[in-house]
Amino acid sequence: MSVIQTANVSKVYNPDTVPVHAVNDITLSFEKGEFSAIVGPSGCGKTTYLNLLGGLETPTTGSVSVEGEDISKLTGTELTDFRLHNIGFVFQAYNLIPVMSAYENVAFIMELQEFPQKTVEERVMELLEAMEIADKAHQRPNQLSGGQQQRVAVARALASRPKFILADEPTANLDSKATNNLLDLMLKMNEKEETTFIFSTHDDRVMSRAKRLIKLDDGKVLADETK
Amino acid sequence: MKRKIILAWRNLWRNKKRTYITLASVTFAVVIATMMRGLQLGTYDKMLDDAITSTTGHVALMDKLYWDDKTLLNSMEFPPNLEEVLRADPNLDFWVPQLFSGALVSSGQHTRGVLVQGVDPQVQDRQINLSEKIIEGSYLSDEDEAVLIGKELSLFLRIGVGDTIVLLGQGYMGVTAAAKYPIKGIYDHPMAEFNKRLVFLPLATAQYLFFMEGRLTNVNLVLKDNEEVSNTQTYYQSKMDTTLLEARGWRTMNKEILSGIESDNFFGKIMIGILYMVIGFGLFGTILMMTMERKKEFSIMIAIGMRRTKLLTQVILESIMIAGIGALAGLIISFPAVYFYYLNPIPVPEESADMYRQMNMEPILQISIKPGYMVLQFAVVLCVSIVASVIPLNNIMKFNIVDIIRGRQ
Amino acid sequence: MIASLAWRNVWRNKTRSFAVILALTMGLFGALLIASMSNGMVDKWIKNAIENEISEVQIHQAQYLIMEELGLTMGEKELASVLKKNTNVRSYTSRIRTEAMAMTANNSTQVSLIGIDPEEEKKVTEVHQFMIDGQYLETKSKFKPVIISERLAEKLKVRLKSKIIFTLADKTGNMAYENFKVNGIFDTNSTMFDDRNVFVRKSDLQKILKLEDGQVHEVALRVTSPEILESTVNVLQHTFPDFKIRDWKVINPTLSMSGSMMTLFNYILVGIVLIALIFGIINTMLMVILERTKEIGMLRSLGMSKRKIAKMITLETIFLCLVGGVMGNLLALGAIEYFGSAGMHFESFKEGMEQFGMSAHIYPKLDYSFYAIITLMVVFTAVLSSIFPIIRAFKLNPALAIRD
Repeated sequence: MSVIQTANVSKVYNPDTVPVHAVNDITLSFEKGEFSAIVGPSGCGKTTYLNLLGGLETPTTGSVSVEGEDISKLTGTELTDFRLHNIGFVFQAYNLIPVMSAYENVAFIMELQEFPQKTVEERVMELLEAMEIADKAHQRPNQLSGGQQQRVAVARALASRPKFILADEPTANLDSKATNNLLDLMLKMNEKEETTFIFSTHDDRVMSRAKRLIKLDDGKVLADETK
Repeated sequence: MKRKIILAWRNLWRNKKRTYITLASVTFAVVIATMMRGLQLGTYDKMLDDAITSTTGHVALMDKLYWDDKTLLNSMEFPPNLEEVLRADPNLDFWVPQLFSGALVSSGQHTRGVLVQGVDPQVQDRQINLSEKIIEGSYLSDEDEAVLIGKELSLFLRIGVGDTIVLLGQGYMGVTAAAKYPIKGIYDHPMAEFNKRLVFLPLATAQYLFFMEGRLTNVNLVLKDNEEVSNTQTYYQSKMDTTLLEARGWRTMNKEILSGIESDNFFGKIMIGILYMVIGFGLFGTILMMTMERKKEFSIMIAIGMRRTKLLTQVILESIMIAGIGALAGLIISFPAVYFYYLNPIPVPEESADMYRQMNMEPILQISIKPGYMVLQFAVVLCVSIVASVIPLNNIMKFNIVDIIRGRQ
Repeated sequence: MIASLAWRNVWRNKTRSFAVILALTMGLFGALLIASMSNGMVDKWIKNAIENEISEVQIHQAQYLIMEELGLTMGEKELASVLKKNTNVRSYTSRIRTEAMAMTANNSTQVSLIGIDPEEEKKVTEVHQFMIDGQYLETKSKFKPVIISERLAEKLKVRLKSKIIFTLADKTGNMAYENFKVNGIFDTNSTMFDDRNVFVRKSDLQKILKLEDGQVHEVALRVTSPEILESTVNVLQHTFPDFKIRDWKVINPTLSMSGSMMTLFNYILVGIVLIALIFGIINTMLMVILERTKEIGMLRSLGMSKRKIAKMITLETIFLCLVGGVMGNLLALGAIEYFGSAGMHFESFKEGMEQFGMSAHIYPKLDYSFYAIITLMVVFTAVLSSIFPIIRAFKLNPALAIRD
């Protein structure tokens, strides 16, 4: 069964003046446990498509449904709550909260969902250990390297066992070693917890390890290959 | 909640210098406001206290017509059962029977209009401590057929202790009242009116002078506790013949002072209002910067599923915290000063002391130590901080997270 | 060049600049309005006191002021011959005064009984403008007329044409009882004045007190302008060495003191507001420097001297403050001019304010020089506030600033 699917989804910016078809009629479906990369040159619409999947933007036409529920119909707060309970995010610039320690950054998202304190503690430590960053649990983001920060960000995205994780160019700011390390850990979690990962990237290292490659150009799907 | 408070605290110190300056502004405002309000409210309390203890009492028993028309015709007969009731009243500190009337006092060629006050010397002394203010001669005792006059009156009449004055006035039922009395003592009271226009003599002597045997103009009750005024009023109304007599509270007897206080207080509040408004704009600036520079962070939080309303409470918490700490520091700084000046009131400089005496006020600046107004400063500052957060919060509700995350804004 | 750069910089972050500008505008507007109100209040208080009560100059027998004996009089003619010729004297009037007990069937109270010449008095004091019932002292009745205040009338329970008996001692110390008929009732806005003063005709009082013809206790006069007050007093004092010539500042030091205290108080008020503003200005300017780290670094590496950077920051602060300062001044000016003629009416505080001799109708008033001084104070505040940001800007390392 598909976790998320888009049906004829389009996103048009400036429809009244100079229309830009950032995403143009894409129909795709993602299964549970996928480890997929959406690739293409910059400006091809992959970030917009990812934002549509994550409910950060609403489609101009078409629909986005998660486990059969059409999320394009949800309003602001409903959408925020939906994201909280169903989607994990990893950003290019890590975007951890600077005043929180690594532990708190991960725990925070679970506390928003009001998990019991004990569950939070166990889960956060489990994830930090899995991401090999447990020894830095009580350091603030500015005391961590880029790779370490991004591992915390992945732990944060995984924390409440979301239906899928959207990662927008997660390796763009990392060197090779950190990139490979991060991909290893994500693949491990993908297998261990059957978490669905969807990336947007133009990084060869990510593409080579993705299980499915979706090539976009001009807002359209050029190719969709599963290895 | 605990997490939120810790977070707010950490966010506050992300820009230390800015936070310190903002705190300093709030602290400054609270110190100024506390001192200003303290002096104002203290002066009001002192004015009322002086008026209550030295003239009207908390409650006064009198003929129903007396207050609006203060003539001996509207004096009261002291009800026979009243003394027992007064003695038995546990709320009462003491009670002062009085006989008031205007009269002319003259000595040789010099004549002046005065207020003659017939008093029970012992009790009266508890009210205004006159015996300690005697500068020449001695204080009155019950049977004396003699008077006490103020320093300025004695200078005007050019008389001293042992000299004789003539009192001339209108007695009960319009009879002419006139008699000669020796001066037993001269006092120096801080209030000008006392020194110029009051003549004291023992109650019995005054009753005899004004043909008022067994009659009084009023009985002032000084209570142990200010809060008991209305209970006391009701209690005495029930014990007296209310067709003739009434128990009047201090508020209606000091209407002019209260009204003066009200007008002064109004302008005082406006001034503090301006000060807080200016500080409010400063807070607004700080909170605005605090939210603007964290736009990206807020957007990420919204993206990963934090409701905007939760962000709002976080920001409000931060502004309340900054205002609260500033206000608290202000109170901590001003309290010792307030306490010190409460114990050691500042004397008014001699050049303006006369102005105080002219208005029958003791020339000192009394500061209030009531916690109420200090707590109020705190509360006002918190409210100001909330108002100052409105526009920045509104910003949070509106901004486009996708644009901000992508760096388009 | 630097000035125009600074000016444009003020408007780069409008919301933030407006916060500072609005704070200055509203703060100064409020402070100036309050200052003008207390100024107007005190001014009117002094004016009322001079016009109704004490006049600008009073002349007494030097001894009378100390002893207040009825025999210590001055010759009216002798004074008049001099005063008439003095061009600085606008008008003058002579009075007889004594203490008396006013009695009616209902009540009695002590008052100051003042014998005046109605026609001359009108040229000096304004009490005739405050008549609310009856006439001043003009009467055809054979009874001796008296005018009293509304407050006193209520106290004594008298109305127009009621009789009042005054008990008083004459020059020789003998008691006299005299009937007067209420001819008019006045209500000035000073409770203290109203409670004490009762006016009768000078000729009536003179007979009662058994004073000789032309003998008076007090001469009050008004001068043509405040500037020549002091010199007039000096000239008169020289002419009449036996008399005591006092101007209003000597007669009632409280009045003149309140005037100067009010000015001081107004500066303190504006000072407090400006100090409160400094914090916000410093904060804003620090933010500005922080935001423009790169830009300032660039300007430094392009060869702009530290002095010029400092000048730019100071100018930006001054511009920012002046916009608010000028707006606050203009708003206040408008409001003060408007209310200065229309007046602000605080009816609910009437009783309380009149108790202190203040009118409940306030006409705000402010010297134009005050605005100028305030504007200078604003500029000074701006310069003071820019010190911190300048220090911060100097600490920036130009090379580092550009790289990131």
